[in-house]
Amino acid sequence: MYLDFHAVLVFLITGVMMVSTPMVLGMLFRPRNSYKEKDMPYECGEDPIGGAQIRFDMRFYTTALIFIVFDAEIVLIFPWAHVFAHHPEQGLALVAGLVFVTIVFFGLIYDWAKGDLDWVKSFRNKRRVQG
Amino acid sequence: MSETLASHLTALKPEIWLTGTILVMLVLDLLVGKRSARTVGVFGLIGIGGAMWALMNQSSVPVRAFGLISIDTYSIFFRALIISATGIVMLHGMVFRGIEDETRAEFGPMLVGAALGACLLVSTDNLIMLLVGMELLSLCSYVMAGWQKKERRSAEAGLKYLVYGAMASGLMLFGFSLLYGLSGSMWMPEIALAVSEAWSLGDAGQHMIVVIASTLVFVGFGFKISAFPFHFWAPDVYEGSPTPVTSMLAVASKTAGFGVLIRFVDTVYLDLTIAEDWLGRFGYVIAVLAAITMTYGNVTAVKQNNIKRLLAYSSIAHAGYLLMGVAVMTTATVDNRAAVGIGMESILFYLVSYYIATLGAFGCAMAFANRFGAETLEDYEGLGWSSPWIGACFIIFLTSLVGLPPAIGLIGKWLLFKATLSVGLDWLAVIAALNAAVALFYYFKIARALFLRGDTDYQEGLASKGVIPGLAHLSLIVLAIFTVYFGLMWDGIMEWVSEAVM
Amino acid sequence: MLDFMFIFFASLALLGGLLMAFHPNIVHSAFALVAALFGVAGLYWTLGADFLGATQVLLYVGGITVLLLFAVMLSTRDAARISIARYALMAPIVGLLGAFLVTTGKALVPIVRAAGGALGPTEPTTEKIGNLFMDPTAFMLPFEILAVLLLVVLVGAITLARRGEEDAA
Repeated sequence: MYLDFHAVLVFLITGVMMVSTPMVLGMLFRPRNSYKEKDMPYECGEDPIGGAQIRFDMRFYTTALIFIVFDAEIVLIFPWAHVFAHHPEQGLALVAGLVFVTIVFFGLIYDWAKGDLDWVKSFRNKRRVQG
Repeated sequence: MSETLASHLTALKPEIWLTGTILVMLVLDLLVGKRSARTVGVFGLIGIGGAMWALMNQSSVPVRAFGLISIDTYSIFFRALIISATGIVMLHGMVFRGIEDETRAEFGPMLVGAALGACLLVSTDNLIMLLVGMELLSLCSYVMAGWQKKERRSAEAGLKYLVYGAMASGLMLFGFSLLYGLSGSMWMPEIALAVSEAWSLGDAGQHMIVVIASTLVFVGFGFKISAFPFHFWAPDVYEGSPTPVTSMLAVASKTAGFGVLIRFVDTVYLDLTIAEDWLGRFGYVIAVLAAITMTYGNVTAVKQNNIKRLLAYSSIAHAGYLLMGVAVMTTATVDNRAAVGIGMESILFYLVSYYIATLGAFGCAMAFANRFGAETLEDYEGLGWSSPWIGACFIIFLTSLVGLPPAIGLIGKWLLFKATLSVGLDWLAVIAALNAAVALFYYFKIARALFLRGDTDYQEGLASKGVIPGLAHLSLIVLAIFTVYFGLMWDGIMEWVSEAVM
Repeated sequence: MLDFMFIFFASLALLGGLLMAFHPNIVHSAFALVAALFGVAGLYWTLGADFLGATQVLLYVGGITVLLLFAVMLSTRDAARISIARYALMAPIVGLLGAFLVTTGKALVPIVRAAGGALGPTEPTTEKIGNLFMDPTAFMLPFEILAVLLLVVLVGAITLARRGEEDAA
């Protein structure tokens, strides 16, 4: 078929099927006697208060931001990893990859040392402000 | 192989210096700890100095590095402007009170990153490298524009710049992709061939592609140089950004924008415009845009009260003057081929004069904001008497911006007017002259506020003591001296400029 | 088969985009965007740009939407509901833009065909991209400069976000 993506397609279809089949089967076979309590997250636990979409901690955002940058790094480094083993000039390829990784690594060190990778830091800040 | 690699790297010495500076500044920030801003700044200045030194030692024989960068006199000229401007902005950033001390250390890497992007932008003739350079410059600028997070205006400036800038890059990228579709290449000379062929042999569809692609690419460049109708971000962003960032945007970013615009026009379109094909009228479009840009900038500047906003509109107006030169290049014909060179020379010379005066003017605005918290024309009343040195420098820079003797701005304007007349764009020269008169009016408003108003109540300000603030003030005085000196002896600059055009 | 794939992914992108634009709940809009972005990734695949498609999934479907969702969650709940009527003015502009894109695309296809460029099956691209990245006369320099770009983004974005966090806390 097309490129090497038929495998991906198979995975995709399988993934969708694995979620949708039980849902459809359940929809077909389950008894239909619905009442309001059934829509609650915990039928026999705490009553939920407020909406589900609460304001998140800023930490989530910072972490996601760092994640995206390294995501992009992986995307760029992947072709390099792909050709590296068979590259005619392996020394050059090694140096090129190392320079790339090292430069980004400086960013990682920076964020690490500044405490942007610590989850606890935000709690410390909060306590300081409140107390 | 390693030999060629070494030669590639030698050709890129200034850029390597800049990259090294970024890394060293980040590490120093971590190592020094609490009061790192000063150390980081000093090392940043040393690094920029190193880059400048490496640049000045580059030979004027054209070299190609990494297959994408052409190191020639043209790129050396632009990179010299960009790197030296970065050095001065770095110095000003170290003393500007609007930037909090906790984040001052991180400011340096951003600034040098922007400079690195701008340097690559003006040296490349490959669209991929162009895009990467432009994105590096833009991303750093977005971050720097929003640097004063506690100031609402600064946050707004950062966000606005980001949103509009992303839009402009997106459109420009779409234009690039059309050009790539047309030519199958990312290399400007090959694109030029494909564009010429599509234009002379192609059908209406191909003509349309050429026109659309050119328009979209011009959106991207026009955004960087804040030309009408892509200027709308400039006033808010210039006003809201920390003042050193504003001068970076107004000087380095705009210079880089013109650097790449001229290279692009020169490589891709000139054959067509000289042959006076239909695309020859492209030059008239640019001429009209230039006229609108300068008129809009100057007329709107008259009503402004905030100094930075006023200077922002004036910088839009100057983009209009500079576009006059591009219009000259693109309206030159076969009988008048020399006009291309004349137009280019006049732009480059004007850029030098604009560079000195604008850096200085924003530097003075920063000094007044630092000492007195002065931002509006009312705040400025009588300040000239309180700090006469900076006030005098400000007057000199304004003289140069308006184009009065004995400043270098006069020579710049004179060359541009001469070039414009040489291709028969008389109406454009007339509009530009009228604009200069309008500009005189609002520049005079600043001068009047500084020295002719409220001269009795001397305002007490926060005087900055120390080596670094002293150096920052000295930089203003040196720029003022340059303004006058080169206004009287412009032969050196002229020689440098004509070498760069070759 | 290819036509079917194209229709599937194109409609996914289109429907996702429409749903994103018109759904009143911005969180649901964000999820609709996932579908739209995935549709675009599929379109890349059908065009033979396998690496680009994978990048699209990895960065946009996986990364940007998460960031977007967090941004929504960070804002107050009132801001999470937007009225579409306010943006009705945009409709003609969007329509014009769409017409423009369609006409340009239509004009471009024969040119690319004539230039010998193939709009269809090609061999995998990842290896070629890797070789171009490793070639000093091709795209090695942009590759390294992108590392600098990631570095300044890492430092700059975090510096800005960090202070936002201090304000919020």
